[in-house]
Amino acid sequence: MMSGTLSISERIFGDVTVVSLDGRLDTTTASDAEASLLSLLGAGRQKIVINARNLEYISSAGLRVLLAAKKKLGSGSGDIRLAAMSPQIRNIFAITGFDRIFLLFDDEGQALASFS
Amino acid sequence: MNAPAVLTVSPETGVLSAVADFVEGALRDGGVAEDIVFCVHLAVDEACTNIISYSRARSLSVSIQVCMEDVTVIITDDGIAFDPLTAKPPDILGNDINNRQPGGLGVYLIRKSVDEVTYARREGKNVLRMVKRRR
Repeated sequence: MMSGTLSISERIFGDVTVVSLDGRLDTTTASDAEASLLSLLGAGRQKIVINARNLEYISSAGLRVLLAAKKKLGSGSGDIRLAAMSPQIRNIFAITGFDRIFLLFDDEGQALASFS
Repeated sequence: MNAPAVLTVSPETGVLSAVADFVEGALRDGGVAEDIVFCVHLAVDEACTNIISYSRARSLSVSIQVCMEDVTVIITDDGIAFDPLTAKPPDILGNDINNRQPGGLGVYLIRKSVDEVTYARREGKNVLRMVKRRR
C-alpha cells in the first residue's frame, strides 16, 4: 500500500454533501482536504457528512483541517458531521476532545438522517 | 533481539510518506498488532512533522527496534535544540472551538500514543526516544 495519498469524492443528497475520504489525512494530504472542504463551503454547501469508512489514518494536521472548516461554518444551520470511523480514528477524536466538537455517527445513513 | 531498522532522510515534507512506509513496514515485519502500528506511526509522524517544520535540521533518522514486550523508536535530528516535551498541551477540555488553539496538538498526540517518551540533547543532536508496549 502506498502512503501519502488521499482520495476525496463527493456525493450530493439534497442539501447535504457526503465527502468520502479514502486513505490518509496527514501533513502531506491536509491541503487537498482543506481545499475541498473550503470549496464546498464557498459554494454554499454547508451541510457536510464526512464518510470516514476508508480513512486509514489521521494526524494533527488532519484534525486542524476539520477544525478550520468547522470554524469557517460559524453558528449557522450548517455543520460538518462524521460517519463510519475506525476505532483507532475514533480514539484520536476522543483523546483530543474532538468528539465533543463534532457529531460522530456509526454510519453514513445515520449522519444523513441527523440533518433532516 | 533483532537489530534496529534505521531510515535516514533529508528533512522535508515530501519524505513523510517514506517515513510512514518505513515505520509500518518495520513494525509489520516484526509481527506488531495493527492498533500498535497505528499509535507508533502517529507518534513518529507527529515528531517528524515538527522536526521538518521547525528544527532546520539537515539530517533526520528514525530507528525502530521491535522486541517481544515493546517497540522502541529513536528519532535523531541535527537541528536546533528543541525539547518537544516542554510544549504546552492544548486545551482539550475547551468546548468552545473558537477558544481552542491547535498548537501543541501534535506533541499531545505523541504523549498519548506511546507509553514512554524522553528527550535528550546529545552531541549537537536532538534525540527523542519513544517506547510503546505491545500489550
